[in-house]
Amino acid sequence: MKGLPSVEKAIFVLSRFPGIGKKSAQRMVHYLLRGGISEIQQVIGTLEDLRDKVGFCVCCHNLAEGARCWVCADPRRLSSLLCVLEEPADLMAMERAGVFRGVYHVLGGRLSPLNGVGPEQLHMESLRMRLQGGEIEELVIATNPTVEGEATAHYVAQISQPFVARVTRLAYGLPMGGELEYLDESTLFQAMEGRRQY
Amino acid sequence: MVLEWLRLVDFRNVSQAALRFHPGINLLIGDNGQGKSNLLEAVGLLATGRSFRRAPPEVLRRHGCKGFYLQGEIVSYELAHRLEFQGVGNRQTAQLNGKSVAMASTMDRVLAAVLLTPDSPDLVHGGPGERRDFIDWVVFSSHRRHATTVRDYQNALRGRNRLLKKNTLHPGEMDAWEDQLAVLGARILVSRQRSLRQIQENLPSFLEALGLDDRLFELSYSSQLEQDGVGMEETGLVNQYRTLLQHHRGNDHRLRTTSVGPHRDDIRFLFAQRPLGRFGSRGQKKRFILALKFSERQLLQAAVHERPLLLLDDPASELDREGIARLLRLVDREGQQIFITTVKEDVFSSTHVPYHAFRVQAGQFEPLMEYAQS
Repeated sequence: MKGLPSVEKAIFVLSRFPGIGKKSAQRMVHYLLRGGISEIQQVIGTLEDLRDKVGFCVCCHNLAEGARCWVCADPRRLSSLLCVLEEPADLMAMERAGVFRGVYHVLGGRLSPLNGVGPEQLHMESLRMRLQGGEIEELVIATNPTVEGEATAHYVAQISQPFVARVTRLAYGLPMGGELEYLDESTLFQAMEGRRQY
Repeated sequence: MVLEWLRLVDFRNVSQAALRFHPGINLLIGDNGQGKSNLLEAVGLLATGRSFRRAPPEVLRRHGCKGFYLQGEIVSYELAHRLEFQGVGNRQTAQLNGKSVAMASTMDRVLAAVLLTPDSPDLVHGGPGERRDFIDWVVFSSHRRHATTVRDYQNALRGRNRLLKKNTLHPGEMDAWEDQLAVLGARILVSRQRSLRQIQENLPSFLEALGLDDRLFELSYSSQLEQDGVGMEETGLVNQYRTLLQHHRGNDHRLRTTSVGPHRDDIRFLFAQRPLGRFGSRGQKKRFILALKFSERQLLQAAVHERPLLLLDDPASELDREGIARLLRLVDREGQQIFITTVKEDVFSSTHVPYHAFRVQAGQFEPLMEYAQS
């Protein structure tokens, strides 16, 4: 696209998005150009809202419009039940499922020395402060079942032990609706290890 | 498992070849640098999905070519299969009966092999890493999960080592990574010891068949745990590793590397209760490694429920006539497909074990008349 530096630049920026390659970015740019000013203005407005209105919850570090997120602001949520997650996206997944009645704490990542992420880079200190309040009765650790997620879980368990009576970890094993024959060995192993009395 | 046909295009020094193999012993005869081992490598690649010379794809294609292609026609599990392998650029793909399959998953599905290469003496003489690789490969061939465990362990190890490079250690963070190392390390230890026990069980019969006094040879797992962790519950091993890692933390910090864990373990080969590497003769070591490979094949056979191929790269280089005769009688008795490369045919022709021979010259293969039994 020689002679169209603005188009080139837009494609370049869009192709940085996860899951978007150069071809998709090209299609997006052409879609915007075809849509004319109103289409582009709508995107600009949406992005400006993202920039100006969305921040992080002062309490749980979830994404929030305003000081506190919609979960922390909801008086019906059980404040004695706390779930620790890696990212806001994990929280959204949990909320979509609607299975958790407590409140959250988003760490903002996981321990990863190779990427320079230690406890100081995560929201561990604010978690400790929340726990120190003594109001939390159960802490559910919902980090991912990867090596880094497990190390993070271990760290969280460690700092919460003095303050919380009950520290739990999400179960490992079979995905619902999945078929045994398609599962990999590690998942099956975990499912077998974590079997329960019927 | 029998590889009936192999076609090669632009692989190593072979421009084009199609070979029909015998279900028994296939002898590849030729001078050095003619392409014998390349053929063996091609068979190994089809069977294991990796080059036993640890060569990347760009090395496997013929000089000046864009890629290589291998096709094998295989009979296993009473069915005929076609397995294809392509390397283009630095990508490799595989198809089983025309359908794309992941490289790693083709392994053992229709074809499996155990390799004995000139590098095998490194098992005895090389560093402990060679022996750990060997046992991990054996574990992996019957327990696929082992690959994930080892990979996760390596990740956790890199994590802890990175932390050790910092000037001050954060105790809680160290605990978190050491816990991962302990859990995964114990799992690796348990798997390795289970496979080693199986090898120990069937090794004596192969040692004997190869003319060694099986009472004089031993192999044992050597770790940093009490009694090498033998007979202990996995949870007990986890606790031991956790304590050891914590105990060595200060020292590890000075050395900036992790000194405790299965990544430092070894397998001891003993001859008359002394290290085989220093006290065994060349012939003894070679025969011992052969016996070890036969044990490995036995385990693989139990996992895949058919006899895997045996690939022997120049076994005659270190074996005397009597050793070769014993080897051939053993493989003949075991009744499996076997590929052997050699420079000299005469050591084989004098053993009275029937085989099919191919003459290998400058990447060309020519079937020779079957050796007639006298």
